[in-house]
Amino acid sequence: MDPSETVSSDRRGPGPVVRSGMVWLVVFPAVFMLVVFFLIPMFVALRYSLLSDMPFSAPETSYTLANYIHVLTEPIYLRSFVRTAGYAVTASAISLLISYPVAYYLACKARRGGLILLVMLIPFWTSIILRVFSWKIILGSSGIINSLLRAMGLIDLPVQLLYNRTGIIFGLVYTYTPFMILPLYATLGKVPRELLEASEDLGYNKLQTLWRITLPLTRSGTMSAVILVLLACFGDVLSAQMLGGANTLMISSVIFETFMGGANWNTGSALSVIVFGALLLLATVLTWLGREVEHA
Amino acid sequence: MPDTGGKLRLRDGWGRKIFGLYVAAYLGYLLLPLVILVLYAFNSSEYMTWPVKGSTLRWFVEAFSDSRLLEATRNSIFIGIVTTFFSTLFGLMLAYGLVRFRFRGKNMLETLNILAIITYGVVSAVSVLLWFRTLGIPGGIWPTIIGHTTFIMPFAVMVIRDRLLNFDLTIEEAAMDLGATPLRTFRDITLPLIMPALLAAGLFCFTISLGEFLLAFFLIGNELTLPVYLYGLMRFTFTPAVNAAATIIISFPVLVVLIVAIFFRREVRSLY
Repeated sequence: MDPSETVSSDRRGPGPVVRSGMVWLVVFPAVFMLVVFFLIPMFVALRYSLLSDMPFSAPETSYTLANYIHVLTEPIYLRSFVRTAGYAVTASAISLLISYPVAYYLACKARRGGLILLVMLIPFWTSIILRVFSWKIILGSSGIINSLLRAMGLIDLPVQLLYNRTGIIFGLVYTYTPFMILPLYATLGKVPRELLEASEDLGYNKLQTLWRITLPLTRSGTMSAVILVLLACFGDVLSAQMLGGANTLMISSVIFETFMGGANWNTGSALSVIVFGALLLLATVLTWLGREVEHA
Repeated sequence: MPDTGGKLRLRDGWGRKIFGLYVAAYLGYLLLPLVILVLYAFNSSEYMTWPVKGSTLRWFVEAFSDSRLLEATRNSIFIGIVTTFFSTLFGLMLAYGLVRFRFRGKNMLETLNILAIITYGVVSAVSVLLWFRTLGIPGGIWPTIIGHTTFIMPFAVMVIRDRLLNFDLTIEEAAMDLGATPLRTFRDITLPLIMPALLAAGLFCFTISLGEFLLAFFLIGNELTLPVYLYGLMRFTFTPAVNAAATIIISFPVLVVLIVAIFFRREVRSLY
């Protein structure tokens, strides 16, 4: 490598300017993986969603829009899509409400915020399956919550917390906590302490400071946390399958079952392309909203 | 005035107490599933009802005599290690390229990386499945490793990129001014300085890979990974041996956190 290729005194960019040929050598392995095993598969799914049969299982296939028409006219797909959106929004809202104060406490008040956060995230280092399984034990009709409620004489019959909407939303909120609390913690940690102290010294009370100073300053970071949780809820299969019931099918589970059961893979591809498009749209719009608000 | 360690002081004691209590309750809520799993792993009853009955080690014996469980664990650890190696290495290279160079197509690469994170889940899993079926690649451990590396690497890129962006460039410039080649500068200056971020990224990759279910489910073929095995087990039979296995698995991250908390106190503080 010739050092004369670098011009380290150039301060316009984030780093030294190096001839682009060498960059491609450095980024090649990652780009290769992303292109060959992510980008191309996306186009493969797009192609199969437009075919009448799978090329590797049927001798002849032809291009058709039938899969999309089937997906868009069959009410079960539309219903599960709308249901998923509802669950995702509810779960994100609950997650934001319960996690924001905690992130605020850890970032701005606690002495050992980082360490407490690390302990909080221990459960998320284990497999999602185990966590969901545990909630199944806790929320079950003879589980700890129902037993406690019965012991206190509050209920006679067990409350149905599993295999319905309550179970799913509970599972979604819990499972994607790290996606909410980590970005919130990071963004709250960047709020200058002096600003908060000044605000209170100049006569705002705590609520006013929160409303006028902290919330506006953390809006963009909060938005990215919400986006992460929303997207994750859309892609969730396990919480929905293990904590939900027959009437609470979510769109990702539908795709999963389509491919698992060996049902029509072309329909599955069409569904997956639609969900991909929806996720993309969602992420773009919300990111844009977050930016707009920040600049206003 | 007492030392507040740079943190804002709360003036009224009651507000602070209630706030602290809420955070403690939240911590309890997050840790509850782990506690329950461990509790029922030692429960002598076969039924997972409240309250727990007596204590037994029977489920641990059962877990260790389950050859499929052991095989699944072995596969998961192998896949996790290989995935972590390649994700962190390729992730470091991409992050370095994105932060330290200006070139055509840079924005496109950044978008591609974020897109992979956005689609991480069922959409990416079925797409890779379709691609491998088209190519005629049968399922197995290596296809799973490829799938994991592709979709876990972008997370590593984000972690490492963040560290590289908050990096004092003058140190590198000094090294190069003193005659070090870019490669030598990277090896002797940059690499040691970003080591904490690399460790964090590696740990993160290993954790995701170990627990990842969807890609593994579609790409593993006739083999097993731990989550795939547990998924099959939980759908049909319910035995506390699962809890025992879970307890053993849980103890690893708990140990890691303890070790990190004790021996890397300073690094942890700089990480968060």
